[in-house]
Amino acid sequence: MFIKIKEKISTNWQFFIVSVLISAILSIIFPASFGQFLKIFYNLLLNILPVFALVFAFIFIFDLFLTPKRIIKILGKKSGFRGWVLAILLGIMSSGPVYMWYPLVDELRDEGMRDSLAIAFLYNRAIKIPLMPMIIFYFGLPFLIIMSVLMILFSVINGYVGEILLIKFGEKNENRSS
Amino acid sequence: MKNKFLIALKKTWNQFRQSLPIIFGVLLLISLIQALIPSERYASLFSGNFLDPLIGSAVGSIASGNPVTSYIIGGELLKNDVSMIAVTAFVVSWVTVGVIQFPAESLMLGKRFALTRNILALISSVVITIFTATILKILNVY
Repeated sequence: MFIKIKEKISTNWQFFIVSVLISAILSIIFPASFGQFLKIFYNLLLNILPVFALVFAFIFIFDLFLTPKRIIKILGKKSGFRGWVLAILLGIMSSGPVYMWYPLVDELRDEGMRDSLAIAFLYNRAIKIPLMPMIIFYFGLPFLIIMSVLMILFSVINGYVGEILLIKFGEKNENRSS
Repeated sequence: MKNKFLIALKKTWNQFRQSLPIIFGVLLLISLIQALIPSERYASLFSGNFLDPLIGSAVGSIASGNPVTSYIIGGELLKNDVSMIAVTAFVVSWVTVGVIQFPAESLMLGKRFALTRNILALISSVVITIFTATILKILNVY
């Protein structure tokens, strides 16, 4: 019975149901934190709504104007130095939490984006230009410069190494929801 | 053109609709972690010895939320005499490694992709931490 129900529900919804169950169980165990949990959830939801719109617009524009052939040219195997620069810049400029950008990366990878560039894009999302004054305030300008340069450098290293590992161990879009 | 527009809109909506349960699931888990582990508790995890950088990396990887929170906590940790290397490990792993987001990332982008990316991010957070702390020491900043 349980297996039959599980088979009918997509993996994405299974994940959501498990998250709800974990939240419900822990809220029962720690009732004092429940109010705070709801408040944080509500605030997070409000914060990501504009990002929802932004990511939706991005995916829509890509779907409308970029053909797989074009994406392969810009972000595919032969994109070269320009592809890296684009992935790094898009990563740094994109806003909101990283998980909001998974649908876009999923879409682009389906259309031919290199895994190395996908890794570099996601890694560079850690560099946030609007938050730089805050880093300077707490840790100083030298810290910001050193950390940012190293992160950009390591996004490329991670991209290269990650792609080699994924090719070697045969990543074939397994367990992907779409 | 109108047809192309509608096809693209439908494709985008389908893609987005599929990812909604995952995004909401992650939101729930992040809210839960933030509610159960208030940011003030992080300072108590550091002991002031050589294990602090490792603790920083581990806690930063598991903790989640806005990077602003990691900077504020990092600033407070520095004030509480936690070493710069531990704070750097904490901040870098907070913004680059996503243990809480891992199930969502593996569902949408593939388990191997998510695993490879996060392991590499964790390793680089340690290397970046060592480089950053060493360079800052050479420059005599901290």
